[in-house]
Amino acid sequence: MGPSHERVGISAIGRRSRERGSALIISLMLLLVITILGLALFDLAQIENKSAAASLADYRAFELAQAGIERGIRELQNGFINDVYGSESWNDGVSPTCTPACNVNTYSTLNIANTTIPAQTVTNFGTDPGGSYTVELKLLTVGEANNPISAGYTYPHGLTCFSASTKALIDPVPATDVCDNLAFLRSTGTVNGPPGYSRSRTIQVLVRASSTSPFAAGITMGGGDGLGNPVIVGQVNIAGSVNVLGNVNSNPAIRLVQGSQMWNHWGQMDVTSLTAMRRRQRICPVGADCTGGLNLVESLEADLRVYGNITNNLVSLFNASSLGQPGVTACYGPGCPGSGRVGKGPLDAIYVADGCPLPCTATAFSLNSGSTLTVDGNNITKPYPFRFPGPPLARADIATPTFPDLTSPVTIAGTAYANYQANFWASHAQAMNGGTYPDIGNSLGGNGPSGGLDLTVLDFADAVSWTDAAGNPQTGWICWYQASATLGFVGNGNNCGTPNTTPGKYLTPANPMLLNGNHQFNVNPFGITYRGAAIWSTRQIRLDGGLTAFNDGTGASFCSTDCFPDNHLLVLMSDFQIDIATGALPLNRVMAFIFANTSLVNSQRGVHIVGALAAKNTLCFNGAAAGSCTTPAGGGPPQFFQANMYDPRNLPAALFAPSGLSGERWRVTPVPRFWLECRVGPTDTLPTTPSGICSYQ
Amino acid sequence: MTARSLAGLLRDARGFTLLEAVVASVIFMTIVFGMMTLYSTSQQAYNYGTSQAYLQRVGTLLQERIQRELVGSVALQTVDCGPNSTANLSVMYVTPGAGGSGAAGSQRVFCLWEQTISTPPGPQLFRCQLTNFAVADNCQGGTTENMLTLTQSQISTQIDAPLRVANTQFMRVACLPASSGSCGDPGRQVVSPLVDVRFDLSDGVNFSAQAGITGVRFAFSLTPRN
Repeated sequence: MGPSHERVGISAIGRRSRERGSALIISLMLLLVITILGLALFDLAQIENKSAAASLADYRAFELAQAGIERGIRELQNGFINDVYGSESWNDGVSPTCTPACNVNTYSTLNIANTTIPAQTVTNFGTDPGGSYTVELKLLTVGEANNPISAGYTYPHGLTCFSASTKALIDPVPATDVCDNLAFLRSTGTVNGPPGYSRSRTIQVLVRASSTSPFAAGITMGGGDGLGNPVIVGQVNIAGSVNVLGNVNSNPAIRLVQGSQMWNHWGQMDVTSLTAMRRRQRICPVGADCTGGLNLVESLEADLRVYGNITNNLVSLFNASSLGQPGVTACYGPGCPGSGRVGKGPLDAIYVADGCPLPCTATAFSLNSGSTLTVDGNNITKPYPFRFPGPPLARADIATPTFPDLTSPVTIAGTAYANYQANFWASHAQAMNGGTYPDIGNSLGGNGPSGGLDLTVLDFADAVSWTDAAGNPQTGWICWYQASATLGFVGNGNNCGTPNTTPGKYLTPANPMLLNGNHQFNVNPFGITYRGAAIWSTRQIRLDGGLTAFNDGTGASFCSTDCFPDNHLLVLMSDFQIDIATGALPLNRVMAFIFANTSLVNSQRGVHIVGALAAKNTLCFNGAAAGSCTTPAGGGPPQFFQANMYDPRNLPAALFAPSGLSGERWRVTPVPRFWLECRVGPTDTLPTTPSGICSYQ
Repeated sequence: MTARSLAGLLRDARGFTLLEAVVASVIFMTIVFGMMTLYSTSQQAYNYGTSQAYLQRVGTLLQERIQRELVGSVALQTVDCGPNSTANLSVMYVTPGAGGSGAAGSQRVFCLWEQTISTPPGPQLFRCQLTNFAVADNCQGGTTENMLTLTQSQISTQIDAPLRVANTQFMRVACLPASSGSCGDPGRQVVSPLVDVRFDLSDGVNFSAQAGITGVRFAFSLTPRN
């Protein structure tokens, strides 16, 4: 081999060697870089995937917890409705049941089946892993409900409740009593999945069972005339709740003038009426420190609820009218200041408009000439809710609330009636008119020379018979005692001549006389007293004289065994117009539950209407001049005071209380301000009471 | 090897021709360019993925925080509050609080709004405490906090990506349509406290506006329970 061949060979060998090495190294390096980047991206994708999965699991756990709350509420409502009428309770050990037993000290697990939602395939979204919820219940004592601060809790405010003592008409209610209609519900939703995907969230609420009856409320109004005229109009003072089930044409729904007021207490009630009723539980209001029992108030738990179209004016106030007042009242009633009867100033809530701060800039409110509204907290309104949170409401299944009228479906003593008036009332009440009952026709019926019942009417006794709510035949007497101007409702085998000291002579709201009268109901000045209990469906009602329930209150001391409305109660229902204090003179008081099924209720002059008042069309007060209202001004204002049964379970079973097509009498709803998500972490243990991570802060 | 042969060898080493050098350079440049492009693309993808994962996590935390606060509120309104005067850019709400003394126990009023900032890092989501539940009420001094910095993490520091929001919207649901799909019953307009919330979250670097959405969009609906 020559030199040239040798050179060429060396060169070629060297080049080949270098080329092979570079390609390999470069390829390996590129592969390495791409692999590293690919792994990084894969890792990122995995992190993102895990993050999204964790969020999804978290959200699912929350929804499961909320589902548990809804389930718990439904179970509690069923428990209430399925209990024997008059003895509904969550503290009866029957419904609900817990493990360990439901109690006031700690949360116990509610015994309910089917709390697991199985995994399922969701179209286009993969697999829903399902999950489960656990619902726990904690009962409250009356003391804890009324004044949680002194009971060691930080609940937002105190609440009234009913218990074994209210059922037995014991006043005051012992703080150690257990609330039958108030309880904490706590629900923990859990989503189980692969490690890292299991999540739990916990929600806590306070729930309360309320009667759906308009007779367990304050003023309940229907939709008015549908022509846009107000349903409450004129000068009036109202102590208690107002619920306007409303009409979208109302503009406004409420028109109050001449310094009308709305109160959350009985501070302005005449002392005779005040001592004729049992006291209300005193509670710790929003914004007060009630340590040691200080600053407790009596509250009617009054709120204003108006359904309507917020593009219309809904509440119009004129001439320094005020709904709710700041602070508290002075002590009222006998025994001050030792009695501690101080009234709450602000209203509990206003459900109108869209949650605007008062005075709302929206058109829903029109506050003229120094008029004001004052409600708890930050003086805010809330939207009128679709599913109304409290009583009363008929047909909750449809969008527009409708008035619970005498044709509503009801369930009474476990029997469902499609139409209260046609299917229950007509077959149970004593049918009567002025002809078959001339005593009634010539007095209350207005056919006699007096044109109504008054002291000129001589004694009479009329036998009646009816069928009670349970289907048992009953007999009794309507007795008029001229000397004492007392109308008595007598039963239980007694008659008008039976001494008044005979126990059981007068009927009670547990078994009232049922009267279906095709006659007027007129009372002349200076009014009458009634004794016993009756539900009287009549035609036109004219009260130019007062209706005072018999009671053993003296004005200086409170009633004990004879009180309104728990022992002596008159319920008046009418398809016709009702006039109260529209004559020449003011009245002292009207103590009754009044229900106007269709026409107007007029009230002009000074009168204390104590009880419950419901009207399908319009309430016309002093000086009302709108739509069908032509109530003259002068002598007013009339005043209404909400006064319901001491325990709503004592409401006569024969009264209707529709809340929907099922005619359910009770509704269980969460108490506003008490919804809370426990701030539970992965390693936290839930407390056994509403405290720690489940406390209100 | 003799001196003569070495001289001959040197004389024969002619080196690369110009053509060889050019071809070699082109190939080299092509490879380098390809590698740089690959690196750049990979880096961009990595940054994009990192940023997206980060935004997703931060946005989720932010969403959950907003939900937690608004769902538990006793009242809320989608009105102007704090320094905001632009429609639907703010929400005002009241926390339930505990019992006790004071005008309303321990209730507190907050305003949550998108604060327009023209200089970097751009618009932020702020929250402050108000004195009154009232339209256009001012923030109390020293209570303003940036919601976007509440969830800072090591990643945001590493990638030097300060967050910004855009297209924030707090909208009250005006009505629940009937079965017909329309809001025929005006009464329904007042029946629900439903609120729709929306915001776009970006780091201002790796995301640019596309179809009007800047960054990662978060949208959810909530119902106050109190």
